[in-house]
Amino acid sequence: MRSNLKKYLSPALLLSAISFLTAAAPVKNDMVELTAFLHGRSEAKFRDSDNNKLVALKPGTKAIVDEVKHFESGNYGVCLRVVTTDEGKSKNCFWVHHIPRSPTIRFYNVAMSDSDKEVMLNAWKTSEKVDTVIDLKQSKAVIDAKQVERITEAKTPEAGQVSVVVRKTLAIPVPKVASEKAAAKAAVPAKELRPPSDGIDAAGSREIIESTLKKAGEMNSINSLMAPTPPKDPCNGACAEKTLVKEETCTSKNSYLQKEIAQLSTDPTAIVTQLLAVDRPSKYIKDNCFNEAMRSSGGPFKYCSPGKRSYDGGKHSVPRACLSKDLKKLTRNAFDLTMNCLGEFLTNDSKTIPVAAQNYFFLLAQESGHNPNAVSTKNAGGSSQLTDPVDEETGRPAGAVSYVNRVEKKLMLSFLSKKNDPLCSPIQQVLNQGMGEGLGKSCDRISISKGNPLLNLVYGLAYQKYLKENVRAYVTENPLNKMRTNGPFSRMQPEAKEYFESQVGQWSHNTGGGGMKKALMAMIQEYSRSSNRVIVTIDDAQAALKDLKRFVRAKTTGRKVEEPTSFWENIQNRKSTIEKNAGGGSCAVESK
Amino acid sequence: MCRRIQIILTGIMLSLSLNASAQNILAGLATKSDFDRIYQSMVSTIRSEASVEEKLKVIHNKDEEYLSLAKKIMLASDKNPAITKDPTYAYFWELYYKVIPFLKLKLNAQTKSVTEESCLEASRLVMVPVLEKSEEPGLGGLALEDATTAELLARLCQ
Repeated sequence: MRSNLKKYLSPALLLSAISFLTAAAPVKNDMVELTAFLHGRSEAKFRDSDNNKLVALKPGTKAIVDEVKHFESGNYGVCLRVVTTDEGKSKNCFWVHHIPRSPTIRFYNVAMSDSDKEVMLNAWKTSEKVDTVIDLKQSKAVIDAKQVERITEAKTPEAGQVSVVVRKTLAIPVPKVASEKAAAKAAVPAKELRPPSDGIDAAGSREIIESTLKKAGEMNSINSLMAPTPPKDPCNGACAEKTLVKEETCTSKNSYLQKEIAQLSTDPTAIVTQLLAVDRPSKYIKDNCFNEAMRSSGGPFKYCSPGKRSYDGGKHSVPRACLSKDLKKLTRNAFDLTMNCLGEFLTNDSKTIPVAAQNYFFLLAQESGHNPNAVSTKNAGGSSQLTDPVDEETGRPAGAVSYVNRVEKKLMLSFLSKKNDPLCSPIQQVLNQGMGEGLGKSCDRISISKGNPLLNLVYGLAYQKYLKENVRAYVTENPLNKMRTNGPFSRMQPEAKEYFESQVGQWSHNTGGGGMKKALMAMIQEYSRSSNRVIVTIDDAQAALKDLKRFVRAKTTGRKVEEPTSFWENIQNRKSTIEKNAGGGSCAVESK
Repeated sequence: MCRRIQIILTGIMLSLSLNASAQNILAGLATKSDFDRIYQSMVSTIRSEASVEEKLKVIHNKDEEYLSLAKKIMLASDKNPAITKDPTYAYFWELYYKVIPFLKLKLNAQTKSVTEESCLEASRLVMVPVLEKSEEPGLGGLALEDATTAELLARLCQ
């Protein structure tokens, strides 16, 4: 581990000194990354009827901005010179449409010395092995129907409009960083990085970048002298841990959570204060994966100011809260504390906690993107999207929140009491305070002042426990399933059993425990009729999970079928996207 | 044409004969009422004034009896898969889901006696979702008690 650290220390420090901005206008020489498929065109005309599409650019494409056109609509045409492609394609720039209100391009602003840029560009050029540019004229068949649907297109015609070239930019050199702390300090907020218009002109900036690209080769030679075995991939498959530390600019519209956090953290006993006091990376998930999950969630979001009881009825959503350092830290630390203190409550086995943490992380990424104030259009709220509907027969709330209050809350408090770890006291604190039931107290699911995101994470985990126990009791541990010599679940290996229970538990978060039970029963009945449908290994369990989709579809009633049917598959896709966008490699922190 | 009809008729006869043989096998092993009797005996014991220890002992014995009958059918179905299509086969599966929470409590009681904790753990298995009644149907998984089993569990745990 120590040698690995040494090997990556320098690039990691340099890369960490790069700031990220979303709100500012794009400018020439910005370094960018695409988060969705985009058409690359030969000119800045983006109507469907404009016959100028040259390529399809894949998500993850990294490029340098060559030219920018600003439209009256507030949108932009941005000409991109792709870095992550072969030399032939990188010579041209492709025009893409940038809509700031629903961005599909991430802008990085480099505020470092030339050598720092070299490292970043070099990492971009060497870490992406797959060509991200699909030539539409030569290989149309490469793009399948789904991909084409996802290619973002301009909805408003912006062809032939008068465009203006936006302001110039430059890179402000910052002192070389000597330590990780210094690197973090050097990551100046993006607003401050934007220079006055009389700074170095665009041509000068272009020169810097071009010289950077040229120097990349020399840099590699230096590396080869300094490191005994230089890796081809500068991140060695672990880019999610080592790539950019991205900071977002808070504006008056999206700083509402940051303001509340700042206000609450003046109270030393507040949950927020206790969580922010911890300053170390996650034990389970790489920081960039948290960033990526939070950034890529589309909402909607609501804000409960302190004292507000319900978010129901509020017609207006708020923008996603800016990912301030405090909000990210709060989210990460709340997640880690939940897994540290209640991981074994969920798994019954301390060895499987890291895997369970991964599962829970990606479930939440799918549900809310770890944004504590995500609220669905149907009022599911918070990181784990808890609901608590009223049972028509009794007139009382009878959903996940009520269930946890009645059953799991006591079990968790008992578990924590036996664990007797003072570090877990914030969880005991939020549990003793509890979560209000029904829509009338729905702010309890999202409000920071009520102990969220910790409270929501704890309730969500408890609900996972319930779902997993149901799979265990009714399926994998069901004596009936074990007694047939060749029954589908009669010879399951322990690791396959754990995998199946946790994955189905994850899926059940959407289908509900009973909905999943119906699907599983149908599956067992069908599998029982065939002697070769026996689930023994993890591979078998995976195949069964894929097949389970068929039964969920058949047994889903009273709601749209597609969402519960594809929920598990969507989590797997979300995992892949986050890991890719976070720089590649797994989001899991390697055990030491 | 005649040959086709002959083939179809043979198929139908074969299918009927298989089903008949499945039912014959099942009739010799167990019927729906056999499983009902065992379950109802468990229910009435739980509702009785017997001590918790006695109730748990009955649950244990009745569970063994239930599984013993079920096992005979299961093993027979290994040899004759047509048995799985018999309604009795589905019936004892469905009914056993009602036994499972008590089985959980029985297992817990073996290690930590009947405490509030072991009762709560068993009551996890009594929750069923109310998909059609939710704010967001199905999303988040919604829980409502299975009233009969919940009442029985409450009696066991009081």
